[in-house]
Amino acid sequence: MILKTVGLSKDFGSLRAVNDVSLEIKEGTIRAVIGPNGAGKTTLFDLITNRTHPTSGKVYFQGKDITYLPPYKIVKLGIGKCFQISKLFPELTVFENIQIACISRARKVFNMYSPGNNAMRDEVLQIINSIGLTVLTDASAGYLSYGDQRRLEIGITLALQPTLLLLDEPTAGVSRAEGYEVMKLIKKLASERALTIVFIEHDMDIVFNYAEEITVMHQGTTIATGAPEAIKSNKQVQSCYLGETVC
Amino acid sequence: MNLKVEDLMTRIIIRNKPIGFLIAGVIIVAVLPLIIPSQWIQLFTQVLIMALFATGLNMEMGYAGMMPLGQATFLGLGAYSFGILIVKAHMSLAPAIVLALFICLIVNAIIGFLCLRGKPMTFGLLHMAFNILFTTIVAKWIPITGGDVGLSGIPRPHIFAGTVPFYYMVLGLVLICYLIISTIMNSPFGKIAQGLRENEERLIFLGINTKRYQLILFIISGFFAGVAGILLAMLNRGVFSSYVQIILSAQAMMMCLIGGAYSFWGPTLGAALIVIFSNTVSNYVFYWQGILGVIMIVTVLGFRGGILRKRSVKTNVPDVSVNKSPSGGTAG
Repeated sequence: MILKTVGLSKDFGSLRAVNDVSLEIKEGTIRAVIGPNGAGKTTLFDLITNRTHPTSGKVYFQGKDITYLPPYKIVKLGIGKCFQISKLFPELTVFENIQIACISRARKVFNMYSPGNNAMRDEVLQIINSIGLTVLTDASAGYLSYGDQRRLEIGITLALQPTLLLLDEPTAGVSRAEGYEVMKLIKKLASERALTIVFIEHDMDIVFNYAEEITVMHQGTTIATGAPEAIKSNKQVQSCYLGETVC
Repeated sequence: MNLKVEDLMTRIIIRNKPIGFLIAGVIIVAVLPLIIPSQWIQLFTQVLIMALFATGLNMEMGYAGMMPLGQATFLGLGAYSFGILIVKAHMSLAPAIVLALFICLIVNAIIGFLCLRGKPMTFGLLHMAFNILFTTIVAKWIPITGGDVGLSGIPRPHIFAGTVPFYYMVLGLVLICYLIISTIMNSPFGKIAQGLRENEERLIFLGINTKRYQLILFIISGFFAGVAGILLAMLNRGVFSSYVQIILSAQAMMMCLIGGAYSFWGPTLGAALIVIFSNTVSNYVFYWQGILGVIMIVTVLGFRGGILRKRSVKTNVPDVSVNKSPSGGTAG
């Protein structure tokens, strides 16, 4: 198991956003987390990376307890995270965006003497090429189309060479065709680099096309986990998506 | 280290392609004392010192987007620790300088650690609070700091004691500091600073300990303020309470903003304008600080980025965007 959560819960005041979630994610698999709005999917991701502290429960990454580590240490261990809303350096170029990630990955953050403008140039260009943004290398990130920003977000995360990639709605806000392009890219990169991927997605076509395993969340709890076919025929999941109360 | 001089020279001008301007600038400041009246040399020495102070401040402000509202603390710290060691502890010049810089580093680290406990806004306010605290200590701890009168009798190094030699000494030291600052800001470390300005949370999720990063940047920036403080003490042959006052912190920020905080040379230009302006116009106009205020407002509202504005944001996105889908993406 590369990632394991045990009884993870989060209360916001009297609201229990995530309730006793226990996940087990096998190395090298692609797992989708689905569920209606407000099901606690994004909060779950925040708990895994300790962006918000869990009320109770534990997170293990490669067998190590990471529940209370600060986010930057969790990232250093090999968990990359793409945000639902792209978090880029908008006034810096695509090149510089990736470059900063590469500098961090190579542990050169506190290198104060070597020239930085072309630092790690080859690696940066190779990543830009793999996300298909070569033409836009010198464009400011803030001026990219939304789809290209999603690509850049993925590129930045990949530059960290993570072993586990958490993607929060990688195709949110882009057209369906572009969404498929992004997912194809992710799948390709995942198989090249033997990545484990957990992604949140609302588009069921994408989920059933790309996920190997699916976890369904509803009102903070996981109501089903399994292969796509099993999930499709699961009565409880169907009723939750039709808006009925699940007991 | 087998760094060539040319390499270093290239580094210092990496952000500023017109090498000619730089060489011309260095020649001008180098021959300046030979052509101007001697009472002006003192003023230009002050310009150089304030330029170093502002450029150091800009490492935090322009590059990293932090809000150091009380930087005069560190200029005053350098000047006062140096002055007290000389005047009260009767140390000789060289050990006093070394010890003063050491004190700067230690106190910087402590203040930086405390300022960086909270959110960015808290940082600025705490920074300012320390400035006020320092001003009070200087004003009230009269046996040590001399209170409002300050400490006088600060010597200059023997061979640089005259006005012109001292100018050249300051020029040399400031250029060395510039070389160091520009090397740091053009290194991978400096690249991260720009990321910090744009999006701190992203840096955290790239595995960077941003608090530690900010602390180191804070210490370096404060160190150069301390160097400027020592030079200022030597220039005026004394340490005065105006070195720690919050108006000086504000002036340093204005130097950066008016000159151009996104440019390496912006703070230097801003320092030259403000120091010369405040020393000449104040002779004629009583309310010169009011005029400065108006200039500041106009700069911030009308010329964002200051005089040496950052090159316009690159928008050279090719017409044919790569992954265009039939329906196109929503504009970001």
